[in-house]
Amino acid sequence: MIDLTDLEKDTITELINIGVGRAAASLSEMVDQPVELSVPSIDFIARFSDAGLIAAPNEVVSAVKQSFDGPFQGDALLVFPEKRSLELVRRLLKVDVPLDSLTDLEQEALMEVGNIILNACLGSIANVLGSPINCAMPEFRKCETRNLLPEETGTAAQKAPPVLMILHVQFNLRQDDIDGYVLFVMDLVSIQTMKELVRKFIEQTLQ
Amino acid sequence: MSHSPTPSTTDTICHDLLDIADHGLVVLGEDRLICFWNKWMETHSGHRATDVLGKRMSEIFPEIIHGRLCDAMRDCSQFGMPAVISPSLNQSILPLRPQSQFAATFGHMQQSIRVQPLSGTNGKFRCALTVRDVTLSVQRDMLLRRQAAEMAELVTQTRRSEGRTRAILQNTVDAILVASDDGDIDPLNARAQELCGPQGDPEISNIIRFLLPDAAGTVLQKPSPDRLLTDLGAGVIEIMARPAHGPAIPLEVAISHFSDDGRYHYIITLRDISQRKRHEMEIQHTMQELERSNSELEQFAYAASHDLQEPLRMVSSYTQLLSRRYQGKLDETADEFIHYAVDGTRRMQRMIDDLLTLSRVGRHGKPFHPVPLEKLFDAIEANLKRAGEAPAGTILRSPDLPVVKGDASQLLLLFQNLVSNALKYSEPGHAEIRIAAHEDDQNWRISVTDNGIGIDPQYHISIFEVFKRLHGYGEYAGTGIGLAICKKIVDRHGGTIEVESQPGCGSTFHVSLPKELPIVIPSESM
Repeated sequence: MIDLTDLEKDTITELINIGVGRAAASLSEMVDQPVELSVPSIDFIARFSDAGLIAAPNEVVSAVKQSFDGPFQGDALLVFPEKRSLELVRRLLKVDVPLDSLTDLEQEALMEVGNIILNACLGSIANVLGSPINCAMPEFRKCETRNLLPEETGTAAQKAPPVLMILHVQFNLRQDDIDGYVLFVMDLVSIQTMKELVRKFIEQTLQ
Repeated sequence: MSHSPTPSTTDTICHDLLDIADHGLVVLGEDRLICFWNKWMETHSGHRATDVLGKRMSEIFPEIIHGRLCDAMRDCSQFGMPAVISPSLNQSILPLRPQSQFAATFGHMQQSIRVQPLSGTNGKFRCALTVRDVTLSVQRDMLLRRQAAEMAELVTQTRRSEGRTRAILQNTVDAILVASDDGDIDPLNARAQELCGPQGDPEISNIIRFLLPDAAGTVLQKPSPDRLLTDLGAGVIEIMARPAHGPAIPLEVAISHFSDDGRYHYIITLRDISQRKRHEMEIQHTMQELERSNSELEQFAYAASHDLQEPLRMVSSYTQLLSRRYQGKLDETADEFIHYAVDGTRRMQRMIDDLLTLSRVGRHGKPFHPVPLEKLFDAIEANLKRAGEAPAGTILRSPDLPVVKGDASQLLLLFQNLVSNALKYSEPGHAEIRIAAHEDDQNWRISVTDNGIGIDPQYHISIFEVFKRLHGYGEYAGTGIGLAICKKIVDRHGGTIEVESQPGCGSTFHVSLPKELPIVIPSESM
């Protein structure tokens, strides 16, 4: 179904890493401390339940979602287990007195972090592939992992199920790693379009 | 206002609405020049729309160049990327004036900004900035954190203090339990667990319940005397614990109480008194031994002195007979021998008499009554005058001699001995004996002072011992028992006797007698 060659996969990984590199630089400047970001792996899967992310379906996660539209369309989500998201925000904001749950301001900060990373990923893909992508404003969601993509369990059999591109994102802050992941939820047509664009990009680069 | 309005009514309404919005609204054209600036922005930035239209944001606010807002505006214009700019990650993005009530705390307004693309042409985007004032939220957040920090500090302190209290409680040697008014008894520390737990003596809980006043209004059976060691009401409660293993443990029980949540609670402290009990037993045993041995000695002294009188009387009678019949009929040496024999028996008679008196102080004591010392000394003077020992005017008494409590005949013996001694060791014809009394809170102190030969301080204690004489018999008559009798009488009255003297400077004997009778009269024996 998703027959990407290794070269195509590497290219996408590279593009994404360029994006998150930029995002890390922005974040470092904003919070005045070194922030490192890396995307060590990318996986394509057909079903969310195959992702291994759902090992703890009842785990509460914080997610920042941005829908995008253009040559290919879908949703991009930055997801952290709730505890890790609290930790991330508090490390970024250098909070001395942590409260039990995310405050409004902390939630907005997390939304900005998600916005920067997702913009960077999408922007860098759009930029390199030469096709602009329209992005919606980010939204914040807090839910259990199993409810992250409710439409997957839907009965719309006639509609092709979405394909997931999963990026494992690793934050390194003050010598501690905070792991999260970015989900790109696209339909098959979109993924084929993206594959096509990537193929063209590789051809142009190799010429 | 901002831009050149179109004649359309809808447009006018839209512009008016944007102007009265409670947010800052700024629109940048495709060329990233400001093309809309609402009233809110005018108010809070201090820049009128007419002054900023057609300029770049960085011209109006030079401090934002290279900042997050500039990057976001660029990404939005070029790629249509929206942005959220939060107040926490970006301090005072635009230098806007805070509302007056926040001016003291915040130099600039705290803002939350959204940068959103608006459709444009040629792949370029217009850019809309929405600025919200969130200073109140930031202030509330700061307050919340400060309170949380104070709370956390309080919790830490409370935990530390609780930990310390628990450690003290756990490591207390005594067992501590708490009982509520419904009769539940909880051991509070390790020792209490040990004593009342299954390995200890579960019966203790029942004994404690019995000891508590009005334990749940139920009638409880009185523990057996081998468990409840003391009578209730005696002040100190002692019980006996019989643990499953090991020897029985005597415990002293202390009960106090406190109120909490409108309920009454008792704190029960159990102290292991095994060692004290052991010591008490030892002391009791020793006391019994001592009493027995004293009693035997007294018996012996009495029997000896009493039984010795009979043969002595025989010797005395016959030597006196010898003296009367053969005085001057034999030679001078025989007369001398007979004289010594007669004198010796007389002295021995006096010693035996004194020994009998001494042993009788303990054995034949009379109950204590008020004794007026004035009358007592009248009697002593009369006795001494009769014996020719005290010429008139030698005994000078203070006018305020008190009434003391004691055995009248023994007190007579005591002071007569002291006065008699005073006369004996003073120069005849110049003797002057003074009797005085002083009082403090608890005692009468009666002093007998003479102007006699005095006593070397090294003998001030030993003179009160039996048969202790400082002078030869020839110099001063006496058996060496008089002061021992005095001491014994004073002891029986719970008082003290001491001497103050220097050789050649006279002596003062001080007798202290308690005003109230002591609970335990120390010596009923020898």
